[in-house]
Amino acid sequence: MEPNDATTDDDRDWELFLQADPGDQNAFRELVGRHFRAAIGFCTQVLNDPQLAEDVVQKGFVKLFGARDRYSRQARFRTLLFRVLLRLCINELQRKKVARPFTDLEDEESEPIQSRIKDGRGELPEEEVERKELGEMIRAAVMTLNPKHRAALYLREYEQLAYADVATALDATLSEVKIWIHRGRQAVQQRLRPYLERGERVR
Amino acid sequence: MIDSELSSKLSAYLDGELSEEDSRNVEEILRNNAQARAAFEDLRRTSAAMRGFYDVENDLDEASSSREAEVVERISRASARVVAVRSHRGRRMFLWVGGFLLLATLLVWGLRRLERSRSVGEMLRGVLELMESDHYELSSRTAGESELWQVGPRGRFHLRRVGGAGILHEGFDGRRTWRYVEGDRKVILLSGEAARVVREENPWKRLEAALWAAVDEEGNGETWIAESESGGERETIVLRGPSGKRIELSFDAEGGPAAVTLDGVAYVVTRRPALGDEAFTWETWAPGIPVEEAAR
Repeated sequence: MEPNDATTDDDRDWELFLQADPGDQNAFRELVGRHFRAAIGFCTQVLNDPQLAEDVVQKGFVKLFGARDRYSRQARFRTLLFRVLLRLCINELQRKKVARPFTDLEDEESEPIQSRIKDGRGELPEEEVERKELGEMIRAAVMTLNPKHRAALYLREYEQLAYADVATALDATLSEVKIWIHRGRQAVQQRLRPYLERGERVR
Repeated sequence: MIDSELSSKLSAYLDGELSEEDSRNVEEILRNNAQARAAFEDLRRTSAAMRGFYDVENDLDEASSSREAEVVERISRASARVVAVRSHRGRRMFLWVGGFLLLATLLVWGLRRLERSRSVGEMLRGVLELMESDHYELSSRTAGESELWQVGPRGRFHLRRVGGAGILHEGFDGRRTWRYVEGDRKVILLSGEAARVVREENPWKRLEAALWAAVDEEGNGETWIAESESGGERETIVLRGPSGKRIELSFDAEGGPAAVTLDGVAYVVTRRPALGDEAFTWETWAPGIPVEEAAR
């Protein structure tokens, strides 16, 4: 995405956010639609629970719109959204203790991935199995990180946010963000070591 | 194996987050250090793997995609509802705050009016109470100005008389200052800019005239006639006024004090014959304010 596009998109986001009239559902629909996937992806990564992620995303938008008068344009709208969502996710994790403990992940991992990944029509193709296996390894590594570190890694690797934006979204300093991302990568790298050493294409 | 500082720098370099100078340093290291190159390559591949992982994670299948529209709709409705509620609540709050401010203004205005009228009323009542029941002690008297200290039920009271024809009295009763003007015929209570007649007649002036007549021993034929009688230790001055009004002042050997009531107002008069024009002092020089005989 070109910077100008980002600016234009963000202009539109703020315009929709600040001016959406309750009588005009389209404005709300457009704004939610523009950020829904990013929001769901972010919350799913932090919570590791897609269903709960959906609830949190709804709460996040409602919270933002409910306090609309208190917000002014000091950051990108999506960054603000991530910030609100992260707080809600952390609250949920603390309240419901939904984060799967590392020991559970180890147990799952100990089960052969091939025996678990089936689509009901028989064995998956080998490439698909390896891809899924790699995904599970990354997920296991990511889930050993604390929620803020997971969020930092996701915002950098998937959303491609600059460190400054990640810091804003996570209410952290640049140094913290730098460390979190580095440690997150190290954790994943360690888990992927066998793949990396084999020099396989890990996408 | 590379150290953790370099490892951290490689991570930031990968993200394009190093300064120009740091970037140049890292590039130099990568050119000359095979281990650093390998570590950087691992980092890059790890990062790529993670992006791939997130891509897959976020890639919604058909069922989820069709559900997406439904969830977006639900969230949009919930968001619109909260804005509507807040906006309605805001309007309601505005009305409440406006109403409250109006009521508060009316209340303050009403209280001030009440306070003003009460303060005038209290002042008048205070003066009248003093007239009826309080006790006075003269502390000093100089030409044209007098001071009176009173200890009464409402604490120490200070009254000052400033001489002149329209004599101004100022008092402070521990809570407020009040004033009244004593004229030849009227006693007027002053409260701020408002003035109020307390007594239409100034009986003190009538007594004063009678007593002057006694001193002159000529009488003030039109109004009062004074007769002086001496008997034993006492001297009595009898004042005869219009309509058969009679006042008898009985002084002891030292010239006082004699209590007298004129038109319902009590006075204490002391005779000082040796003082010529100062033959009499009226300890009720605060006119219109009665002095309890018992207190004297």
